[in-house]
Amino acid sequence: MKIRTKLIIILIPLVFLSIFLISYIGIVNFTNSIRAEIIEELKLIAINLMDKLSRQMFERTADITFLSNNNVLSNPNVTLSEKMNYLRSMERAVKAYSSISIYNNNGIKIGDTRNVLIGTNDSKQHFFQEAIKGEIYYSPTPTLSKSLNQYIIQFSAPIYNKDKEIQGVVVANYPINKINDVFNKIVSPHAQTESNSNSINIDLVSKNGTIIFSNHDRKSILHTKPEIQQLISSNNVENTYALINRDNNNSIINANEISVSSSQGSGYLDYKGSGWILILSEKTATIFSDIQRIVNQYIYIAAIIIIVSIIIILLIARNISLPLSKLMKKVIELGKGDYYSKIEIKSSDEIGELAKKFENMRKEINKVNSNLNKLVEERTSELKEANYYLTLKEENLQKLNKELIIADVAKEEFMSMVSHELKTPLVPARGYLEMLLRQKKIGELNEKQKKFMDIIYRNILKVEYLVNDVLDVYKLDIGKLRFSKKVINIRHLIDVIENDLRLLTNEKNIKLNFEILVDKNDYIFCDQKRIEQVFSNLIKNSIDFVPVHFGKIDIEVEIFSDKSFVKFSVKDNGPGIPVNEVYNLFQTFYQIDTSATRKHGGTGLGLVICKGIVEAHGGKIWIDKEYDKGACFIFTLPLVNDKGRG
Amino acid sequence: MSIKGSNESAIRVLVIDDNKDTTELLKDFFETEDIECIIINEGRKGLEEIRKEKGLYDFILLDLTIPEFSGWDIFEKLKKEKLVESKNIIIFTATTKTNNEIDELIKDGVKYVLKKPFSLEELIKIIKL
Repeated sequence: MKIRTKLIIILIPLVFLSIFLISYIGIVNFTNSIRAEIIEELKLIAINLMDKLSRQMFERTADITFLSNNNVLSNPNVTLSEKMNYLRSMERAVKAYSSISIYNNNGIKIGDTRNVLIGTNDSKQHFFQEAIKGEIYYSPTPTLSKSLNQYIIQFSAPIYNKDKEIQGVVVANYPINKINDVFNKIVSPHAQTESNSNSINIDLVSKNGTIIFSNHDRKSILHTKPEIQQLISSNNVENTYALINRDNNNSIINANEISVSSSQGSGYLDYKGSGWILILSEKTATIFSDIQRIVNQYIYIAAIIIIVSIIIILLIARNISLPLSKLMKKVIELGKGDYYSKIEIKSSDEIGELAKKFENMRKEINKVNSNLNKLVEERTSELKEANYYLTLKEENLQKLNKELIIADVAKEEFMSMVSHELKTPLVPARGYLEMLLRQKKIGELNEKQKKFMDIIYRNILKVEYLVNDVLDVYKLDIGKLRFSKKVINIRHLIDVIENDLRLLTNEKNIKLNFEILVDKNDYIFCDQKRIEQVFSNLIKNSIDFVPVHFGKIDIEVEIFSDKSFVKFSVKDNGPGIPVNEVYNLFQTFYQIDTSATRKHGGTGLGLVICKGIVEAHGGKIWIDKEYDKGACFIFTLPLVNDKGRG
Repeated sequence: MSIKGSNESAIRVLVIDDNKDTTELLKDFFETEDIECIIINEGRKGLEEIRKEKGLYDFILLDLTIPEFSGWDIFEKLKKEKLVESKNIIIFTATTKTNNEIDELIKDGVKYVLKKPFSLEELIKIIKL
């Protein structure tokens, strides 16, 4: 896999994962902290409201306490209408009451700031009964005033005279709307628009669960709601602000609400506290609408970050992989033997370094290579020169060879011609002599004629031998002496030779002894006529030198112990050969003593021919220097194994 | 050179050789041996004679070295045209280069190759055998 692909595969999921994790943690923390903040804020609002409510209640309690000990109301000298006017002026000043009434000790309403229901007997009413006992009373739950046609909270107190005697009861009717005024000033800090300004639901509940005030459900006032009942019973709201966990509360409060409650525990001075519970709740949807917006923005930003990251990753991958693949291409080219294209990669990282090193290496290789090339060129040109001279020499040699071949052919032709020209005249000469000497039909010769003819005949034969010898030597010299070799049995060969040689030796009265130590299965591969010629030459040589009448020639044939060669020895009882002449004896046209030629005849070519024939058969010929009874010629020929060619 | 009408039982030989001394010798020799002998000194004429009278001769004595149309040429023709059986040909030769060629002749069925100067005794032995 390419580094580029690897980087992309690794980095892109990494970016996704990290952005997801950061987002998740961020959103969760953000949500939690927002929620906590909201709860804190709601708590503060609740406390603040409760405080204000307590102040109102305290003020109303203080008002009624003031009226209870008021000199005007208890003074018998002040008329009822003056008292009412006094109360009306106070009502106007305080702006908190819908009406203020005065009752006599019998519970009959004797005066009212609104002049309604005067004379009504309220002696059975709770507010009267408590007040006539000397208590300052306020109703824990609002009551519907039929005359005022509104919900009111009644504050009642006894009217004392100077002697601390109860003269009657004063009742101030505090309308719930006034509480509403307190709560109306509360606006959710999270509400963004005017329409949302009342997004906080406020419920004021009495100790027994009766709803005293609700800013969102007016009809529920003086009624109870089961969910609120349950809320009050399940939570200890006496002295603490409690968060109503919407999730834990099944259907009591909407799951999308955050609520806090605050109770009005103890009052102060004459106000003893109402035991009311204030419940604030705010819709999470409202709260989180802006959070949702933030989250949406965050998602957009995350998407942009991801896209930008991917682009950056792709660019980085390209940035890393492009020079690398470029370098790789160059290195491959280098490996293929292209040492000339420059490796140039502009990159400051390790790849750039590597490329620089490779470039250096390439230069070095190029240098070495060019040196080598130069050397090779030099050597090549040297070789070419040498080759040229060799070709020239070879051409010369071929020319020479051709000339030699032509010369050889010419020599052979010449030899053939000489042979023919020398021999042809001998035919009639020899033939007629033979006829004269042997044919009875042409008449007998006398003794003298016969003797002369014999001499002529012998000399013609000598010329014949001489011509043959000269031609043989000539052929040996130009390498044209040809042999037709066959596998020959040695014993058979010796028999033939013995027959031929005896003719010669018997004529001269020479003793010829054969000692043959060969097996009847010993063979040589030879030209029989030529081997016969060797023997004949050697014997003729000996015949010429052995003493007349006592001549003796011994021929020995034996096999080497390793069965490789057969050895032929020809020994005579002649004068022998001086040691210093042994070497020259086998040289062309050489005879140890030229006078001997005249004495003994012979051409001096016989031994040369013998040497040529023996060596052409793979054998050797030499003179045994140890032999002191005469001359001893020895020659060897290779044996044939199993009748095959040796 | 017809010899028709002569003694039917006598041996007849044809000698083809350009050397007149040699042919004269052979003529004289065969005369003493009672052998009928025809001499021809030219190659072409010899071949024509053989073509004409091939059944007549017991032996053809052929010299290899004849100018213009040699004994070799004659032998080739004889072989090609199957005029004479090779065993009835006696070859004379004075050259020495032809050792291998002589082997070839023997392979072709020639029984007698005489090297010049041959002995007359040798020759008569062959013919009278």
